[in-house]
Amino acid sequence: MTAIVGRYGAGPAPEGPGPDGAPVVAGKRPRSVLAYRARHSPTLIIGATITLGLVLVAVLAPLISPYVPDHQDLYNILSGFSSKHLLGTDELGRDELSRLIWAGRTDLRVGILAVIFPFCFGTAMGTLAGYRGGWLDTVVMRAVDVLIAFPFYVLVIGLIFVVGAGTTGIYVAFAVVDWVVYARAVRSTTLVVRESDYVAAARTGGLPDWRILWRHVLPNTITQAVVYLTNDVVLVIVAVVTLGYLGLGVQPPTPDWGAMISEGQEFLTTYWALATLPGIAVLITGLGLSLLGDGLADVLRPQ
Amino acid sequence: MDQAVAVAPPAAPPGTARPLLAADGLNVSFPVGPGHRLVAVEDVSFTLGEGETLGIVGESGCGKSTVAKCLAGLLRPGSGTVSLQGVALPARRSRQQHRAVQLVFQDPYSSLNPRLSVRSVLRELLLFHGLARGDAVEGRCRELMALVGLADGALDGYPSSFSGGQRQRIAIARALAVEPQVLVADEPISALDVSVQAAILDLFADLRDRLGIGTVLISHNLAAVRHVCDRAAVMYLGRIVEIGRKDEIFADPRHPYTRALLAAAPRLRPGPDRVRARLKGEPPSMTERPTGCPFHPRCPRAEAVCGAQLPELLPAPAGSSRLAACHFRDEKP
Amino acid sequence: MNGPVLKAPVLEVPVLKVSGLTVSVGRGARRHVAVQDVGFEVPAGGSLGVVGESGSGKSLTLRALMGLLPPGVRAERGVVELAGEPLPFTGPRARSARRGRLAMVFQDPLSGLDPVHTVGAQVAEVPRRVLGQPAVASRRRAVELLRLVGLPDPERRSQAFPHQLSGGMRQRVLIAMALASEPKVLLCDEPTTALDVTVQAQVLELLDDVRRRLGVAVVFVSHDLAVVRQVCDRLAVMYTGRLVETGRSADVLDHPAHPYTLGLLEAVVDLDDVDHMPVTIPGALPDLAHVPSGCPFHPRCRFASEDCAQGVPPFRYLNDRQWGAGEGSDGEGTDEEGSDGEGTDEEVTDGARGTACKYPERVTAG
Repeated sequence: MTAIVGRYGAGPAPEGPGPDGAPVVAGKRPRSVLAYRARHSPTLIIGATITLGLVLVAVLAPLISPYVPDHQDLYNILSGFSSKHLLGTDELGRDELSRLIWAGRTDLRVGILAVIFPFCFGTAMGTLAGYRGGWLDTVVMRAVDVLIAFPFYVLVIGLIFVVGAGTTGIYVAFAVVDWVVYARAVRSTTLVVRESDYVAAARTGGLPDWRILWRHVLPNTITQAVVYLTNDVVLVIVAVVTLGYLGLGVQPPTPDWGAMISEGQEFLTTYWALATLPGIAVLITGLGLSLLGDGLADVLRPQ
Repeated sequence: MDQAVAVAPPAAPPGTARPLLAADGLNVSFPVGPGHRLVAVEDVSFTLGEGETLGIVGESGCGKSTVAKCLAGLLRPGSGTVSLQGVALPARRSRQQHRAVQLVFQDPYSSLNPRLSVRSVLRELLLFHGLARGDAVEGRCRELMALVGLADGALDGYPSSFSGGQRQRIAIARALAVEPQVLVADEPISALDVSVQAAILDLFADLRDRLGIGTVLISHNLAAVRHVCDRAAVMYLGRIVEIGRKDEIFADPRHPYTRALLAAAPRLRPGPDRVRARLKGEPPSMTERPTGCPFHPRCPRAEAVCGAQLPELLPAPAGSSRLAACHFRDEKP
Repeated sequence: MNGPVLKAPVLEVPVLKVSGLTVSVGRGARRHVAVQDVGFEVPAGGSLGVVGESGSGKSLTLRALMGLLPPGVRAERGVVELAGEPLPFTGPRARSARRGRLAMVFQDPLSGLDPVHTVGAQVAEVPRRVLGQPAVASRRRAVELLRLVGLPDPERRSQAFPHQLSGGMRQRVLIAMALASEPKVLLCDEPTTALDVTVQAQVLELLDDVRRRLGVAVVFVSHDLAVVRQVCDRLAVMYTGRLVETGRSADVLDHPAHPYTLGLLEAVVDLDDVDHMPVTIPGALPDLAHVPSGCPFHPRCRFASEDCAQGVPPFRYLNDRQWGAGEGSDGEGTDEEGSDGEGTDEEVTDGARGTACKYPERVTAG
């Protein structure tokens, strides 16, 4: 045995340029390459920081919020910025900052929960459709075509009218509508991965399909879905806020940025903060998540 | 359509009752467009004996990769069978049947899952097939690494940290992990550097000697086939045109296409002036097959009979184990 | 002149002259040299083969000559002269100086051709744009060129799209496009590697034919020693970006003067040499960012001695009489002792035969 090892030489020594002309980095696992890229991607760092900050604020709301969000101080309605109420109060004397924080908690929670089912279901459908093909592929893709043909909000609002306004309605609506994009994206990548030699090797190795899908196909197709996920969360959060604005989303008394914007509308010329500040909060959230998504796309790109 | 005739007996030591692997009348074709079929493989039959290495040579479009996929069970032939130890393998193979025939792919850069370490890949196969358990798994992984000439440390690595030659070794280790009886290597060295090719060919020869597995080596590199294989088959447009022991094929080719291939291959040291049999024209399309002998439109030796009648694979010269599919098979070059 | 140069025969004026070419990749801490000090001269109508494996720098050398270096890759030093006129590597003059004088044939005919235009139109574009000929004349010239490269039925074929042609035909079209600008030098980057063996034979014959008929010089990059033997008069062997051996093809391949060349020859499986078992070169190609000190090949060299690790050995020219005796030689040179003893290297060398090994005699003995 040792004689052969000596003859062929020990590995994994680098042997000159890798496939893309860049020198092969000896012994480095893909994870550390990812970590290296992550550290050097300003987009990812900024996006992650903002997002993490928002999440922390949302999680720690009970601790850091100066007031309970529905505490009404009717002697102090519509006050401007002051030391007692940093961002002022609304038309019912509720502290704006507290409401912002608690609304953020609600909207982030609903937004994130609402994408979980679409992500899982869409990825599963896309993978199965791409790998098996045949009637399954046809059925799934026609369903996708039908759903995509409808404007997003029309479907969502329609469903909410059927199910009823409120968080349940939101979850159901997104579950029905939002999975299609994941399915399409994952299906295309699956079609490519399915033809690769290592999948063929797994098949000749006698491994059953479910195992191949789980260990060989999915890890290589899921990065697409993950990157899209971060963008989808933005979409969904904005949608939740929009629905709240329309009165169809999170119902009062639970605070919600959309409802805050809607209520603050009538005071736009006098106390602009009421409608504008929630808007800025949504902006920052969207920015943070988008940057995070871009950064992830950059880091996870194939080597 | 003519039936394929006698299948060459394996050159394995006498006493081998049945060939290890046998392909019998394989046909693979795909529908393309209205009324047209692309014939990838037509009437291919051959055998592989225990411990024997069979080379399949031919240029692009000759169907050799399709044959490899049929042997490994990745592709179901339209008709014809692949048999192991005399038993025909069904279209959907069982775990055991899959283990018996393993494939090594051409492109070392895409034949390994980029997200799995070498150890994970080997473990998965060993555990799934019950070939090792518990502590024995690690030991077996190390044995496999040693078998293909890599250090133990390679087990921790991911494909991206290895060179082409090393990846091919890993691919071979993966194939060997399930203890196959036949190894089918589809152009295993063409994507590698020249100085590395020799090492991989060496490895194949070594494995054949140590493990006694049968190997089917598919390559367009005639020199490689001549060095490693015991027997060789030459394919053109989906059919076998010549098959026999390698010294017969290379020293005394009896099919004009084989002669043209040998003449066209560039030599490192110029030998005596070979007949520069330059082929006319371009390789024909796989959807519009010529009548009679598929090679006749380009053949320098072709006559009227060639376009009219498909030549059978018959012994040439009579009584030998080598077969050639040419009406003029008895003429010496 | 500093640095290694494979010189052209004395009485012939080189049409292409390269000296001290150095190309680096990357910036700052991650910068490494991919081509180091490469020089050669190609006479008009001559053919030079550049041989090496991955990382040898052969393709980058060609791209530097063509002014086609990718972003992040820079030609730091070096002079390239075409018929005496220096060519800039970058800048606006880079393209115009090469137009009509230097042309390149790439490895992959499928990606070298635009899929939405007919091949005739693509070939005709060259005389039209480069040489300024009117459209009708350009189309006629295109058909002529397609006929010249051996494309059957050129009038009809010129109306075909690239995907309708086979690989061999596409490569001929690429050669036609390269010739359309009436260049003096044709640079070929592994033009037959992607082709079948029988098609390769046809294309190599075509290149030879073109060279003889049109007097075009050819620089042929390949990893295949047998192919370059067939096509090229002279050879330059490269390893990790440097020239390690040069000379006439027959001399280099029959009597190598560098251990790497010997290693390559021993590793190659040759069709005719049945008894020769291929021997792999021990070790592995080094990462270009970590080239061994001293002679870059020494860790893998079986003739190496201690001093091979100290200092990069200079490239030197060899006495022709001892290293293959030139035209029509079959080893006779070694018998000529010459009563006046050894001449100095300059007298009996024409600058073609050179090596970067300190002890080339060990290679012949070994």
